Amino acid sequence: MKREQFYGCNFHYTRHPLSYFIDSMNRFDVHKIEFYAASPHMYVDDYTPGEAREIRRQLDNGNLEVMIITAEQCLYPISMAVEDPFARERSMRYYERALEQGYELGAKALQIMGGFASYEEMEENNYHNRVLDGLYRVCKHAERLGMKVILESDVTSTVRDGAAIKATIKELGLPNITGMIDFGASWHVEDFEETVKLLGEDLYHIHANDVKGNDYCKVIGTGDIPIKEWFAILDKYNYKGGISPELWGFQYINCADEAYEQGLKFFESYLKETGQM
Amino acid sequence: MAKIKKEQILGTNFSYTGHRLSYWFESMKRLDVSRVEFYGCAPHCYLYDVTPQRAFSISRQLKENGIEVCVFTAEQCNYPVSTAINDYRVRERSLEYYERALDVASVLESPYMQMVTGGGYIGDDPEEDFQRTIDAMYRIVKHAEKVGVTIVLESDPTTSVKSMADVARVLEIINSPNLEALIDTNGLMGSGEDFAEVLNKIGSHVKHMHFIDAIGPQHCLIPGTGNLPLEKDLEIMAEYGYTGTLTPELWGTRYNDWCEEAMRQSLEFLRSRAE
Repeated sequence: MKREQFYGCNFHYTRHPLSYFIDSMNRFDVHKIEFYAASPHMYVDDYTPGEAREIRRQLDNGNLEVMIITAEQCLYPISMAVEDPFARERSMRYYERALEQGYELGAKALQIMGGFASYEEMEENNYHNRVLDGLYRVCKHAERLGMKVILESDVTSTVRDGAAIKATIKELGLPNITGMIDFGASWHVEDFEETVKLLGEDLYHIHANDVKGNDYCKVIGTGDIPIKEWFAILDKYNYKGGISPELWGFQYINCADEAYEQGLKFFESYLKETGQM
Repeated sequence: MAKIKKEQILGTNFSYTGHRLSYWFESMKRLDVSRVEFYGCAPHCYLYDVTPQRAFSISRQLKENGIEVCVFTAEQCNYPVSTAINDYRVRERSLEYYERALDVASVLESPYMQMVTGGGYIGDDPEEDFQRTIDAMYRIVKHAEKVGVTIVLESDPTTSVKSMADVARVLEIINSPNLEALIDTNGLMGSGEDFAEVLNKIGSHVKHMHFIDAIGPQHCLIPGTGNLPLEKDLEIMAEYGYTGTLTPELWGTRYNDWCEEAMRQSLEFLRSRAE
């Protein structure tokens, strides 16, 4: 792998203005980013495509290229799986707006999750068609914009693991849907190497974060996951996609730069140890 | 020794957001709860999903299930709202959010609406954040007066109103009968203020409390499972003659998988120390 595969991410920069994040990434000499569309930087419902274009100019001037747009969908109540038609339609429009804004940012792909549903709905197991229908609609809109849709799994969502990602991609049969692995979501849920093999060409992206006990989305190298072994597996299968330190949540908002730098250095140390840097 | 009264203890749907509303109604019956702090959060009552008709429908369902809403609390920590932030767009949407929350509180016939003010950017001047909040409070409190709901203001060290001293300052500046105070035991821990002193200073304005435990970085815990002096707080409350309500505000997803048991334990802690 190469250093440039390690993306910049604003997940944990949400108590700073966007300009601060842009300066930080330049200090770290990181120029490809996964853009986290959330307040205050660019909450999908706050921005028009024209205003997104203005953000693009700021990012361009700051030498940052948006590879992927990821609109917040765990903290904010967004789900294509939910039974309430009003909430579901609001969620679908949210994704469509995220695509349009991502297009203006120059993003090549939108990250998406299968959505969350109540315990009762999960037990009744009647969400599958809503998820398929929702993904189909998002993919078709993405297709018009020339973008891909990257499906992420989470054991608490309606797409639980890598096998479910693969099955969903197969069932949809669309050219622009692909998959990814989130380290934290994979840990304790599936065998990492088997999932890399299973996804094959559908492994488009990686969220590289660590887990310690019940603490998720931690800086790589600070938790229980054998991160360097997992990087070696990615190398073994010739992975060339992006690696995002997805430090989602609030734990690093008061030390955003330090947390980002720690992850970047850990990745660099892996590259050096394996003679790739 | 004086004790708080069982009627002061409210149930709530915090931590029930993994379930349908119908499940929560049944759970409240099992726990013998009829008065609640109602949490305006998806999937039960997200403000942007609640049309006026839907608010009326929720109100009807609450009544049919024998539930009286004493405080309405719209989610404001996970959802991005702030009266303080130096960003016109975010702030303006936030103000509309609070106005919507007041409307829903009114339809649900809740006398009170809880509010935290939200934070600014790291590095911004806290006093400027506070002044933006004051400007926002004038507008929000005007709306509260129009819809006949009283705001109970809560402090949080991460927001522009960091302590109960800040709450007192806001109350003094705004000076409206539709703006009162709320004590959150975790908020007090954060500000380092003394429970008895706060009650002595602004107790007449305190209409509601979030009564929760904490240990280290873990907040919003079942009373009795952390290390806050909650038993002592209950005694202080009773001695003072506090007549407002209190809720075990089990905010977050920690108890989602066993929300009823967590609520049962919380209510038991409070009820066993009340008369």
